[in-house]
Amino acid sequence: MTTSNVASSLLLLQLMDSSFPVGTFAHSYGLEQSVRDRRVTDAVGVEGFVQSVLSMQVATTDARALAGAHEAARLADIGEVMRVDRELYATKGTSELRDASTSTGRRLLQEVLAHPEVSHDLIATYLDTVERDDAPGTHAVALGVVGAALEVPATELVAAMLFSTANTLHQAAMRLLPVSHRDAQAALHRHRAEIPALADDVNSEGGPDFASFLPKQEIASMRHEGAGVRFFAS
Amino acid sequence: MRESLTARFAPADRGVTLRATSTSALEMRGPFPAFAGALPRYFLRNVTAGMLDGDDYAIGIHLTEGARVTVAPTSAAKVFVSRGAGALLATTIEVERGAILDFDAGLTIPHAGAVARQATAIVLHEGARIAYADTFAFGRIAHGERFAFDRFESSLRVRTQTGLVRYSRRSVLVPSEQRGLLNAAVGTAGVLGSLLLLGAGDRPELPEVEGAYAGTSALPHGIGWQVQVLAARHEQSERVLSEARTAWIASHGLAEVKPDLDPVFA
Repeated sequence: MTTSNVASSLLLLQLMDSSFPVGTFAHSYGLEQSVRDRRVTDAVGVEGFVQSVLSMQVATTDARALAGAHEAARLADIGEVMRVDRELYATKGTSELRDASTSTGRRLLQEVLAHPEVSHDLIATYLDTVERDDAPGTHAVALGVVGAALEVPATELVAAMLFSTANTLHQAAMRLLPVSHRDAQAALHRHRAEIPALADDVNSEGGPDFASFLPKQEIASMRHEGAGVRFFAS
Repeated sequence: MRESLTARFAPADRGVTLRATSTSALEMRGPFPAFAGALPRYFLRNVTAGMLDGDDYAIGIHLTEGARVTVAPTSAAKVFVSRGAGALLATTIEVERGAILDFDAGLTIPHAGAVARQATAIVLHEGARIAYADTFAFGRIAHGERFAFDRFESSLRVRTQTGLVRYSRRSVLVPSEQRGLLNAAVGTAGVLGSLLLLGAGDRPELPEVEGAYAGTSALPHGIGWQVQVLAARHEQSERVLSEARTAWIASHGLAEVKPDLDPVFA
């Protein structure tokens, strides 16, 4: 492993860590309501929920946007980044999932820029675009821009985003159900084995090619909006 | 078969006028009787009652400024087994300012081995309102054909009259490659119902229907609301969508369209 590879991996570990302050820990992406509605009741159900989220939504929509934004940002094509960002935003048909994406995306851009060690003009330009409301600032696109600016390869970013999503959901599950750390880690090992193939399938078309099919999660997210007591923001 | 229908509705003294052109398999029939004050009601009829391998259907619905109409199918659309490229249904809808379209795309039932693609493009003008409903059965459940089709691709995009994409959804279902994932994505449901309420309007209230799991949320850019329903049976999904549509129509100062009026010649 070269020094630059090590540096890139360490940066990725830092950006994707659950303690990195973008607020992903506050979201369950429909899992909380799925548990409340007894659509997910145990560790096996959680693993199925996470696997479907990874394969039927993140890999086929957000990850494609990330790859498209990364490629455009690498070429300093902000217009194309904005186009991908708007396309991704338009696919987010439930308000909580949409807000989760844009709130964590903006926070990611702001947090990276707060540190001169990693601050970069490209990231500043994109945050400015987002803060002027010229682009929504979805999380996947923000991550693509940050990754391109800091020279983290797109494939590694995509794989990291998939794994981070799985980790976030299993962390949430441990707070919602009698799911143990051992259960969560076992499931994460199984997800980790499948993520390279999912990442390899991601292309960078970043537009009408997006596809997802997760009605149970989306309905849960919609019902969560009206829930009286909520541990999570989504 | 390559079939097409274009229908252009314009406001008239007592309802709407329709100018339609179509090939032999598709018809726009109406208006049919409705309660006073209700939207004029038309039925979109596919005389083959289904889509075969190689079929290529194109339907265009256009409401000019101020036109108000309900369009519904006369029967469910069956998609039959395919040994080639499958069937295509492309629908374009454009609704101008002050016009109201209540469009029910109906129930689609892919048979075992079916391959099909549905593409819907909606142009929503400022001040227009559209209720767009569709229901997808995961196969002929009673025949043991749940997720037995080969491939089903569906896309829907909503644009403004200036071309801005406001909402977009697309799914590509290949059950032979996704079986466990599909079961996790829909549970034990047999149908997925969807309703878009585009344009001005309040958040719809949904009825509690046994066997139906439903929710509603605001669409991006404040263009309206969506309702999704997973249900064991079509009637359960239909009840949720129908009540939400009826309330939406009523909220725009129009009389309710009684569900027992349709279909008149199923």
